Amino acid sequence: MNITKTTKDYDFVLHIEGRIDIFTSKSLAEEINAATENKFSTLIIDFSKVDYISSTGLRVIIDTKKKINAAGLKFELTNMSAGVKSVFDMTGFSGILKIT
Amino acid sequence: MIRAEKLEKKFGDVTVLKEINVEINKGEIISIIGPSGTGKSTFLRCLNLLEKPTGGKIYIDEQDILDKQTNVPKLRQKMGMVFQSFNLFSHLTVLENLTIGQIKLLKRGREEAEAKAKELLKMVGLSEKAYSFADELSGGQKQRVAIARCLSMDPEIILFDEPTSALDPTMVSEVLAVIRRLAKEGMTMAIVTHEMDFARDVSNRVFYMDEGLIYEDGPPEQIFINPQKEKTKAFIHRIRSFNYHIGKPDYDLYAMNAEIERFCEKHVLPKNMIYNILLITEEFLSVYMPAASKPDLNIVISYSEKQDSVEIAFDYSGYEGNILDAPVEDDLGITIIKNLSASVEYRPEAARSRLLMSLIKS
Repeated sequence: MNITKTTKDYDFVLHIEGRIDIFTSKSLAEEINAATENKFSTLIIDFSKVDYISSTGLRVIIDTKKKINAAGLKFELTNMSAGVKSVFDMTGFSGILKIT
Repeated sequence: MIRAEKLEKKFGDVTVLKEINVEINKGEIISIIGPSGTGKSTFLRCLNLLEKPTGGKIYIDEQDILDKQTNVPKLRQKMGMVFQSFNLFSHLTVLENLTIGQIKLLKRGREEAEAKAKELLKMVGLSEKAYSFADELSGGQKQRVAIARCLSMDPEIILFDEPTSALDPTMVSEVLAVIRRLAKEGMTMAIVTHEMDFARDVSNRVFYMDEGLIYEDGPPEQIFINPQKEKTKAFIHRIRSFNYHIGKPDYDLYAMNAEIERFCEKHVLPKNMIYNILLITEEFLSVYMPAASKPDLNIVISYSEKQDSVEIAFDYSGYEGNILDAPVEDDLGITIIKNLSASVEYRPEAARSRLLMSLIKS
């Protein structure tokens, strides 16, 4: 899994490439924690190059949402493939996360 | 009518038939199916002593045909045999092929034998070929002549050894039509065949042979729709399986995934199905590995070509009970497994447990 970062206005975007699974979720969590040190109003995770996510990845995402929202900031997920989106749908996460 | 007891056949050190016990009754139409090399033809050939059994007994109408006192040629006349390769006399006409046995073995007069032969040629739709030579016929016609020749000897049972295997596909139906007609007339038959639709339609009993045994014996509804035993199911549903064993905590998820993907791609499974298989497997592992005292897990992914369905079996020890009931941080993984499965079945088996998941079709 590779992660690159970009900023646009007040948005901080993490572009993830690869699989988010039991072995890569930890580094995703670390990268997100490091990203939150930056100043932004919205943290966006770009899923356009994510081809797989399992429950361990979902936990990282939901933990991030809690932290970001607690800090009064916004959190968005974008460009999900149908396969990845279906995992958010079947667990009910689509209803509590902003997915664009 | 025919009874085999502990019938065994070895070729050198290789045991082809292992103590077969079976009874074939008058009026039964038995299809013998199974993978190649499992003894189907050998079984048939042993019944009429084209192959001499190396053990056991065969009774025809309660007479032991392996007994030295028995008049084997006379008993053999009760059984006709139709071969894959026809075995017609190529230097004789069709009519002569049908009369020679009657004249020499049944001692019929030529006129009577020819009348019988012509009647049978009419029955198999080949009256106009009576004076042709065997080599002038197509494969399907040769096989119909072979069936007529067999019937000319008034057998009580006919043994068919893959009667359509050597035929061009366009000629299979004409031969099967003749066999169907015999079935309707009540002829007792045992048919080794790879024509599954035919076997299902024509027979009233099916032997599935595997491992040198009649592995499953039942009516066609059982064997073809609801087979009871694992190997029968795999054969009937044309199941392709992938096996992976995990015996230590530091397993290589990516090596396993690569193998699963190779298996799925080989069988042209859709991408979302591959995704779901990988996801279920990972979710199972994320619950099982922390819970297992000593991981020992066999993963079997089975793809049924016929039903276009996938089943995943997790056979494990190291955790007593249903792993889906194991204490976990949250139920995310289990929710995913249940959402992707049409059914989840837990089967405790001796010291191990088995969790079977049928995947929802994509």
